[in-house]
Amino acid sequence: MSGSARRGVIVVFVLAVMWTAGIFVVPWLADEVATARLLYSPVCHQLPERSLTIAAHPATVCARCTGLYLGGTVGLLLVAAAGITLRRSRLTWLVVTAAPSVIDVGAGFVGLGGLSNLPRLLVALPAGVVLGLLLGEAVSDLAQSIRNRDKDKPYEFAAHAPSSRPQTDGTGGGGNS
Amino acid sequence: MNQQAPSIWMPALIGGGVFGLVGGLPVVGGLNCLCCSLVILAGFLAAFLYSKECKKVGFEFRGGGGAKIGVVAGLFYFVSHSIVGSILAFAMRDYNERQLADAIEQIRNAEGMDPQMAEQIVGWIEMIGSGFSPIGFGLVLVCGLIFGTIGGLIGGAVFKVEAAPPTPQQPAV
Repeated sequence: MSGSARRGVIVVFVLAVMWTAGIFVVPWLADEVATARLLYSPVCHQLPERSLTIAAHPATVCARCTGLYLGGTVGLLLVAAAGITLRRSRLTWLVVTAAPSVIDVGAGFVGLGGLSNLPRLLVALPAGVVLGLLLGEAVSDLAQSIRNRDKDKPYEFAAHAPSSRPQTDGTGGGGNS
Repeated sequence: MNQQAPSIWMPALIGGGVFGLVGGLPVVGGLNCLCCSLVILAGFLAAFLYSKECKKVGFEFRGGGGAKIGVVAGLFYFVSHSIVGSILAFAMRDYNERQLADAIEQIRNAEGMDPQMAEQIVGWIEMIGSGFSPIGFGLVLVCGLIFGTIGGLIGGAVFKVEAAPPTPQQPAV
């Protein structure tokens, strides 16, 4: 992985760490900045009985979302630190790791009940890791393609410059370098 | 690269439109409570459809390209979700008002919940309201753009398409 690609993944990893840390930190600050929970409300139902309890307050997202975000952060870390990516069967990995959570969600929908909070978190964790690996790979590719595009610009200018400027005697006219 | 890039509009419209419609419906729209899964799926489906177009013409498609199609799919998700949500909110406004009042009552009477937190949750619910408020529109737009992009990025990584090898040039006669 090139330097720019790695930097891109690191930026996303840092954002993911901040987001995931908020799940655990905000409940500690519940009395002071409970409105921070609002930030997480569009992405999770935040039902207290479905969330881990931290410092006598529910976490900012449910146990399943916590598992996904924790796993995603780990996946991004693996890409950023070790350059690990899924070489093949990406869709199979995604389906296999997501299946237990999908079954658990389905069971809840049809009224069969579901797992308790900690198993729910653990079941979502592998899917999060795979999603993090895929996201990290895509972000590194995006950062690389932006870098390549930026690199190409001066080259194009240089390539067209001689034909678009009057010829000089070669002593240098102080043009843009 | 000689191949012409396929248009991103139709795959993004299908991905965003379909999942926006689903997201605007009651009950199934609740799947968004799982990390905005419907928005992510909108970007993911758009990336899948776009990868099929790319495969046809031999155009390279990777994770980075998925970001672009994901953000457009997120925008279409917002439009589709807003239209369906607004229509339903208008049609079911009496029912929604009752549901909202019940939910507020339940939160206020929930055992073990910090009263301060309960009032805050009630405050948010009242702020967003039963219908489609400007805050609701804003949240759907922001979530659509962010999570649509994430879905597109993941879709790009999963449905990667390598560029077709260049065709050998005919020797000049």
